[in-house]
Amino acid sequence: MKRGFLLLAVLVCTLLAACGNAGTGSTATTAAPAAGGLPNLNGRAVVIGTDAAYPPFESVDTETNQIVGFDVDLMNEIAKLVNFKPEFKNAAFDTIFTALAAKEFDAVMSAVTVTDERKKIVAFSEPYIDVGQLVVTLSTNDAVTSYSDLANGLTVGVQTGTTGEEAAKTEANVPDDMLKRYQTIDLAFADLANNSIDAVVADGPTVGNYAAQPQYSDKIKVVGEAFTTESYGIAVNQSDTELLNAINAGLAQLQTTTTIQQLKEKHQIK
Amino acid sequence: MAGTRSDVQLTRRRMAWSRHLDTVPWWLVIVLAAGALVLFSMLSNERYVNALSYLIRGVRLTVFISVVSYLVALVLGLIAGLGRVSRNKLINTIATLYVEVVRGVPLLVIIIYAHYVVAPFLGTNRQPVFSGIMALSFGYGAYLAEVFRAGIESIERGQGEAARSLGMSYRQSMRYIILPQAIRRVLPPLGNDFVAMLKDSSLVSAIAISELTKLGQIEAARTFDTFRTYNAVAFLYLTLTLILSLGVRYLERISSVGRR
Amino acid sequence: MDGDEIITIEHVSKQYGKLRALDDVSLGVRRGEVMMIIGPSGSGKSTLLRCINHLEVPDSGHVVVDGVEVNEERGNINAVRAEVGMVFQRFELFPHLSVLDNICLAQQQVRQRSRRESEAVAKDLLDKVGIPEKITAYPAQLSGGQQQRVAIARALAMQPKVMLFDEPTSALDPEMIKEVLDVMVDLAAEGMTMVVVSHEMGFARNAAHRVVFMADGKIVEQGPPEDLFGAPQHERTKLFLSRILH
Repeated sequence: MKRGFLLLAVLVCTLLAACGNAGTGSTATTAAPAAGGLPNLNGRAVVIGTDAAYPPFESVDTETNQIVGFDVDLMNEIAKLVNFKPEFKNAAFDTIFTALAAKEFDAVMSAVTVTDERKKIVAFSEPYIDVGQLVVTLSTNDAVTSYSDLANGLTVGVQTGTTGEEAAKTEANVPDDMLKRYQTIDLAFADLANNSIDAVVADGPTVGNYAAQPQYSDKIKVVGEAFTTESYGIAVNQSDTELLNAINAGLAQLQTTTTIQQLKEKHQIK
Repeated sequence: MAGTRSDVQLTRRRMAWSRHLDTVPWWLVIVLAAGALVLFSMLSNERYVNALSYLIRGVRLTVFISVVSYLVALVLGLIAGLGRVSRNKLINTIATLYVEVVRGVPLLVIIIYAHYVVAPFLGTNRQPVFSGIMALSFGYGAYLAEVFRAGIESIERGQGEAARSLGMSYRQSMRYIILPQAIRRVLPPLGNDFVAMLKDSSLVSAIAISELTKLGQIEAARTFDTFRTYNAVAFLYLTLTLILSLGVRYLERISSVGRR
Repeated sequence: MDGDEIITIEHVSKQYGKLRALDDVSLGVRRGEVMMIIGPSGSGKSTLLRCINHLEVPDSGHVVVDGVEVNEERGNINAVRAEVGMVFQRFELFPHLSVLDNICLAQQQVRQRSRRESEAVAKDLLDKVGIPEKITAYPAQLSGGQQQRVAIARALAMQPKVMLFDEPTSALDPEMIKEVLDVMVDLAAEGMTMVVVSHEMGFARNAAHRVVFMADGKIVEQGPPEDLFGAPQHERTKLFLSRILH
């Protein structure tokens, strides 16, 4: 009986010690900037939350089971410059900002538009790409020629908590009960392809990506021009100024090169 | 001497009191008190009031979907349960296939399958609520089938034999003798499964139905306040399920008292 | 066999796995005869009884009831059963129905009688078994003896040609056995064909025309009660009787 307790106590202590030692990087001190004057995060591990159902910015490669996409590539480039280890983690989009504020990750890079509302609870880097909301309908739908047609009794699919949802409500004036909100945008596209809903509103590059996919390319089409102007930024916890400065420095550096342009071409973003 | 007499009276009164205290359902008192406290504190907070007034519309759809789905599930379950006890090989096999296959697939997957595969085929895909009800009733029917089967099998053989020996057919003995007794016996588990259905109805949020959970997601995303929003959502679900649970307990009491 | 026979059992056998419950049994019951089957447990007497109304199905052999081959009447076994009333050891009243409904249900569903007709029959029979006042009661409110009497009334309500009794008093308190046996004796006196599996020797002596002794799935000996009890021929019979007649 007594030996059993002792063994258990030893086990518990070992576990606790192991937990205590895991999770590096939170107390890493910044060393002198690396050559070129960029901040150096000393290989700090940075966990990045993302909704990996949003190609071409992030999606899961079914063969390697890795998260891939424009955001991943860009983040990797930044990480190389300022010396941190990025690790992308799949997360639900509608709670992603509160999760970041609660330090569930170190950063969020998920085709996220910089908005004033979001700035209240997280900090944003400088913008790294400009996009606009686009409308998609069935290929056979001739009634919709622009976003203003969406208010005419049509059911419109959006992702919960996105600027697409906001734009559909305020720019396109879609009534609340005609708005179908999905946890991930792929289900909205599936419903559109089945003619269960009339249209989908989402970020331009993503809409273009889905419309080009083989199972959707015949069925859906992009309608009209982008009807909003937005910029994506990388979100960081408001208290993590070290990471924010490093990311901004890295981005600024990259923007002097052709890297971002090359990445856009690689992922077929206009 | 007079002192002794009032001592006895006092003891008797105390004993009567403690008997009263025993019959009070303390768990319910605590829950109601806590609930009232929570509600009161919520109503005095503006953000909670906003959340609750937005969420309350979801309650109607949640209840509607749950009730309709459960009624259909009861019918499906009874039919499948009868199929499971049938000696007809074909009927029995079909019923067993239904029960085993459907119970092996998660309810969320059934819901998504119903809306994205079955509904377009049926042409009902414009009404996701229909897909949701279809999926929930089909999914739950498989579980209820086993509840009914257990109820039927729990009725002793002699009852069926007595009915058959009077010349009643299998169908008549089922209808007048076995089922009335079996159903009465399984009313409590059926009631509990309805409470479970109410909670599982939250899964239809996946196909963009604006029931309580979906409204919670929308509100939480809009306000960036997952804490308060989901407190309110949980509070509303709890209110619903507690009311139902009380109903189930009442049902248990009236179905067991009296005959048999 | 006798043209007067209402039940003919010919070379009936039934096996449960290794156990031979019935071993090539043949038996005839005449119209109006009161037959009692006795024997140790496991002798097959209940099984034999239940073969008559198809609650057990023999592996081989014939069971003919009032001219109808029971085993072949799969399609219309219900019609056969309506003519054969059965009283069970555990009464098996329907607990969710009142006494009245217990007696009326099969009348209405099987004999297609009107409500009024079946109620009249029910009242008569309850009178006959001696508990007319219990007509609106529920089985749970009745004593064992009363329940069994209602069960008898329920079976008689179908106006069967034969009444089977499967150990009708074995589950009763000793004080209530007599009230049930009295009903059975009256029934016998009225000329009902009865086959009774029981240990109640008193009933055998008072009312039975023939007693059949079974053991190990076979009929060992049969005859009028005076003969079987007074001068048993087989050793097995003597052994059994010596053990139960004390």
